[in-house]
Amino acid sequence: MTASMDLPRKLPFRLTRGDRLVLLLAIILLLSLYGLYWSQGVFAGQAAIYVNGKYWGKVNLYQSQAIDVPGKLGISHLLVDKGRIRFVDSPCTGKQCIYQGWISKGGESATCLPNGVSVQVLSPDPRYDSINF
Amino acid sequence: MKPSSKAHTRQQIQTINVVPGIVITGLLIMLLFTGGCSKQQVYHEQLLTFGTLVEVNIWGVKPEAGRKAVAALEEDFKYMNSTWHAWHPGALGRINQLLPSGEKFTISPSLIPLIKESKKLSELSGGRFNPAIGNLIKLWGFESDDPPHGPPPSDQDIEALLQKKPSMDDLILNGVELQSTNPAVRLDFGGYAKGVAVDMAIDHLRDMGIHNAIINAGGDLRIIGRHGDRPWRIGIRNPRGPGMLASVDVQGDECVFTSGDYERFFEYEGVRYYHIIDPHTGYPARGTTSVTVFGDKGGASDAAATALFIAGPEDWYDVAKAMGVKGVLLVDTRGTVYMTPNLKDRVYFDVDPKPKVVYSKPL
Repeated sequence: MTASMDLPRKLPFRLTRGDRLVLLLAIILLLSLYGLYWSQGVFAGQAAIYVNGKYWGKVNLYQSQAIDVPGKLGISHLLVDKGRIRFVDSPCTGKQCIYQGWISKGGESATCLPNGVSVQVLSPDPRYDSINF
Repeated sequence: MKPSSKAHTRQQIQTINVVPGIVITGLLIMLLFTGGCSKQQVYHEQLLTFGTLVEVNIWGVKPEAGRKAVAALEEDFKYMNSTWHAWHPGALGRINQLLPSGEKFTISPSLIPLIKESKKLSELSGGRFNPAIGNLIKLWGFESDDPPHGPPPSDQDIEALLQKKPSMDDLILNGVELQSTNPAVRLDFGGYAKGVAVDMAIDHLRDMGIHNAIINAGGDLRIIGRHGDRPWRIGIRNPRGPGMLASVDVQGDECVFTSGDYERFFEYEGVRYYHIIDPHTGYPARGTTSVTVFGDKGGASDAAATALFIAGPEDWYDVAKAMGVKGVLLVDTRGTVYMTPNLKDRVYFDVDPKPKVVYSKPL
């Protein structure tokens, strides 16, 4: 008690009980932010892939890679680069999925309907809950 | 060490001053957690049915309840798809086989409301929405599970079909008995059935006690309730180029239906032919690239999206008014956006540069 009362006098400013409480709360805030955005596994920069409406897997969008997803007709080729993902080839006739280009914003999705493959960018606070295409 | 009375007073004052700070920080943390919870509470599932991708988002349910609800909807969609499919064997497929005979026949009761409602909507749209032109759709090759490759049909073949003037008025519905006075009528509910299916799915969700949800059947979407403490946010696809044109805030009970020329098309000798056929010309409608319709009911919104696409930048306003549409966002072939003024405060454009927007009179 005596030591803690003496300590502030040695610093160029006074650290009151209130200051300490605020500091503590700030640390709690920081930890809770960490818990919220990292531990749940949903943070900006991930995308979920679905095949025939069923969850197929998750990819990290900050790890450049090529992904082969087997669908109804064959393999859909997806490319990941710098936080974005897109279809580069798919065994469909319309090639609509390729035309949809890169997607990166939370909630954005691209779909190859004939092959039954779709990809959606995940986010804890998506820009779009659903896409009207 | 004896605290002086002066120091004691100072300590008290500082404690008091610090209270609002603590309260605010505490509230911020709580807000963060509630925000976090609401994000966690969206149950999301996709179904490949009805010839499209059906997406279901439900807010505020446990995963088990969400799974159960979506499984029930999947059964509904399967049934509706097989019953209302224009060219697969089923109730509507059978009707299309029997209509040219000109005789009376009994139909599946589930199709009666579809025929009655779509007949009304066809009238209100001035024949722009016309489910009786199945033969024209078939001639263009869009009545197929695979997209057509072309070539487009000949002018003579199109003209021959137009002269027969198939219309919903050619149908006589008496109880469960249907008869056509025009052998050229072939029913295709492509621009309507998905909307009705979405309505039925929403009704079913409500029966199951779910009041905050989105059902999105390939761009035919109806929402109920909210996403926790905020409205649902819907992205509208950019009809030219990748990404989104805009996001829209939607809440309560509202339909958002988009018809675009990019949905189904084929290219032949450098010309793009898409699936929205103008019943009056027999050719794909020109002038619009996409139209988004806001309305109360999915079936009516679906029909209106087709009708307004065909009406184009010149005539959409009158058709929207006649069909009871609540809001419209139409993009023409030059990228100009025509919009009803009531959408101004909840449509956020996500393209750069922002498009040129022309506001209409209120509907």
